[in-house]
Amino acid sequence: MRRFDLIILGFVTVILAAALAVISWQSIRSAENTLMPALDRKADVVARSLASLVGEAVGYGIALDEIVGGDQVLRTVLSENPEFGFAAITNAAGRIVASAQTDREGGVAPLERQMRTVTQPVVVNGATVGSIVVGIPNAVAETLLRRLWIDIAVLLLVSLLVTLELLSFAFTMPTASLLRGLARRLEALGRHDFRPHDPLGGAGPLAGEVATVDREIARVRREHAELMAQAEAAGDTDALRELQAIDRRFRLTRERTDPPINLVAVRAPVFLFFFAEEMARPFLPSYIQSFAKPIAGLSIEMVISLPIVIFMAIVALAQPTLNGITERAGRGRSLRTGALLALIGYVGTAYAWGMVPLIVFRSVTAIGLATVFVSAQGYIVDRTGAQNRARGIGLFVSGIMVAMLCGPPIGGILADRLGIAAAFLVSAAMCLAAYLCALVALSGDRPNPTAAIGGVSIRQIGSVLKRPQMLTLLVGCALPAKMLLIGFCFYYLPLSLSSAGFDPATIGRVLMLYGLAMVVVIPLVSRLSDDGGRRVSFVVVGALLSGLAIAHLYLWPAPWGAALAVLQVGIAQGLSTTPQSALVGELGARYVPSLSQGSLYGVFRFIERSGTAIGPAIVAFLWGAYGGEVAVMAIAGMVALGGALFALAAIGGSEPKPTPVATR
Amino acid sequence: MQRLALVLILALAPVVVAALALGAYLNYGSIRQSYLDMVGSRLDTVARRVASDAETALSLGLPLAGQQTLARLLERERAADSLILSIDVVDPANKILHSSDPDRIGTTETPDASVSEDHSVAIRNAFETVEGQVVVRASKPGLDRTLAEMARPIWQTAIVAIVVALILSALAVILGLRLLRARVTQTEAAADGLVPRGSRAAIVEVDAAHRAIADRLAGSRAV
Repeated sequence: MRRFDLIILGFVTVILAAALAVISWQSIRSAENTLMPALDRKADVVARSLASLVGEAVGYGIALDEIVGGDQVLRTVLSENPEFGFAAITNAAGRIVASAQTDREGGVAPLERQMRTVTQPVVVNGATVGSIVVGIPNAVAETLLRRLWIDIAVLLLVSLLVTLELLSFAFTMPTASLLRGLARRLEALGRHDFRPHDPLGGAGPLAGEVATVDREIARVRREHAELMAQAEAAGDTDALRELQAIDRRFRLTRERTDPPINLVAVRAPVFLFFFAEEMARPFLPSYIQSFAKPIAGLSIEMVISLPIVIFMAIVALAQPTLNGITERAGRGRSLRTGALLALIGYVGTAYAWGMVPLIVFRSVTAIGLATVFVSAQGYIVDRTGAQNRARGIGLFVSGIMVAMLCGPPIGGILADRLGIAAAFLVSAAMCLAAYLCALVALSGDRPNPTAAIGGVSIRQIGSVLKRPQMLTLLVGCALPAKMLLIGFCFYYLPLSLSSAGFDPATIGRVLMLYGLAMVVVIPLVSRLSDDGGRRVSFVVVGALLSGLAIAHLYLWPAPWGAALAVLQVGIAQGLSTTPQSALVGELGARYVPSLSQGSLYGVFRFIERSGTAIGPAIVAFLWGAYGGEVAVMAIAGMVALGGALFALAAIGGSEPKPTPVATR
Repeated sequence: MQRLALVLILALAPVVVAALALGAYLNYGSIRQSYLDMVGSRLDTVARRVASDAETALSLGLPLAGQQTLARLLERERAADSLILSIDVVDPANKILHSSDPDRIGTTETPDASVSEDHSVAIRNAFETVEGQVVVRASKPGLDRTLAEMARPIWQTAIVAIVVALILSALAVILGLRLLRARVTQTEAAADGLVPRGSRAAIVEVDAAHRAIADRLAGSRAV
């Protein structure tokens, strides 16, 4: 992270935290003014109701001290009214004869000092035989608002992550990129890093400074190369050794693998767009459920899964073809078209009046999503070479990961507080923001009318899958991983948690753990698996851990079991995603050398994406036919079995040596 | 630089406004829900108590329509809570049999969300058959008034907080940019132009090392 970003982020954190604290403080004061009188009245009504009940019992001839079950009645009252601190029945002398959440033997005086109390007499035939006392804690308003702290914390986190994305985007402006480019050069030289930077162009004093620094770096590198040549020609091993030491320290012969600075521009629209889609994760299945009506031959679970399955199938099937189409039309223009399509889809979904319109509008959104994904990926691929493509794609993938982290909790909060339709409209607004960002930053791209519109052929899929190692990697690991992600995490869990009475905000916080785990684990694993050449192990361990994740559902109460399961799936898939992607290239080069890397990855993405459509369909089918437990166990079993089969297949052939893979 | 500051401020402004507005709404929404839950629970308790009395009378063989003593109970309960518009006992066809408001007796109860928020509890006989319902009607304008009074200071504070946060964010951007600019625009002369001051040290260090090796290589060639 750049120093400037840190400064701004630090300021924004303090400003937002302080402002939210002030708003919460005022809310507590307002709540006290409104809630305390309301609570007093409620306590009064409850006390009168209890007094009437107790009076009735005493009227039947039961002495107040002999009433059986008084404690239980009061406990029920407190469980129905959690705002109350205690409730007690006292006799005419003021001694407690029944109470909840207090000492039976003690008096009410100590409690009355700690809390406000409401007292109602128990009157029988005109005589007061006892009292009902209900206690209200003084800090009830703070307690009510304290429950909000998780939502406020999530809000703060998401605001900061969005701020960071927008700062990066703002720095893609011509002047800003010169400023940042110069700062980047300065920081690199401060770290003794003499690798050359991409030229920035432009005019003015800043551009002049950038060009001078670049020329200085080029001069030093040129002089180093000349000295190396002279030392080699002279056979001066001491000089060569010294020059190599200088090179190691100042990186004088190495190249920079950073993606060009203008590529950062594509990240903001991608982030905003995927943020919009991820927002719907916590409530989409229950929203579909509200439209679902039985269809002959299909269980209700299958009916609910239909829009999700169709959405994912469109994304999977459209992607291979869309690559050529977006190249022909221009990546930036295609991205903007995709954002507009999704905008229409979200508005339509918000106002859908039945299952069929819902499916139609979700399908429109799916086409938009596939178009944006392929256009953004293509934009990066078109502007990077083999050396910096992995970093460029990393920029794009990390934008999606951050969106996966931010979207579900905010979507859940919005759906919970403003309603699902409003949350979809916010998604539409985010698409509009993504469109505007793309319009500003990606306006200069050129269409390529001669680009080939390809796709993935059956022959290519067949040639890849006939090798056991490739079959078990793609169908055994990649496919079930996506099946588990969409089928279990994004279909089964939101629906089952919603049925169990959890609100969308809670479901959103559960689902955000997947994005959180991926954001943290993927960068660590990329390096570890590359350095140690342990990609097969990472893929197998990832698959086994993913499969075992569902055990949390049966070990812990909801929603903690679901949260731990999602977190473990996130960690497990974080472990396996990057090594799996790298292994496709390596194993493919060994076992299917006739296929280009592009075609190989096309087959991989197609099979992997198919899992996103097959997963919810299989879970829904099994759920309807045999119950939810069978469904999740079956899908988890498939993931673990696939990993085990891949391990066996990999043992059959030796593990390939690690090599850099562009599409990682 | 001014344009960059403006762009950064314009980029930050929606984030600051959205975060604080949503934060304020979360606070307000939580209190609003708690208040409505409290009122709802209170009205339910009143309705349950009336239903309980009616069920006791039913168990003694007194039909719902004939429970004339209910009227006093309904009036007493209504008088105890200023938020309650009326408490009605209706038959299964929604015809009002007893009410705290005598004008409503004999009419049909039709819920109107703009006038009242209704809470109902069923009245069952010994065979668990529904004989009628107790409907407690809370004044909707009264509820809205209380909520508006509660919301006003929260939104006022939120607006002030948003304005102050926007000003402070703008100052943070301007200050940050000044620091950044100061860092990159303090220049010194390089071989063919000006470079930022901090960048020269590394270049000088490499040049010195290179020069030493070049001198040695030149010396050995001369020998």
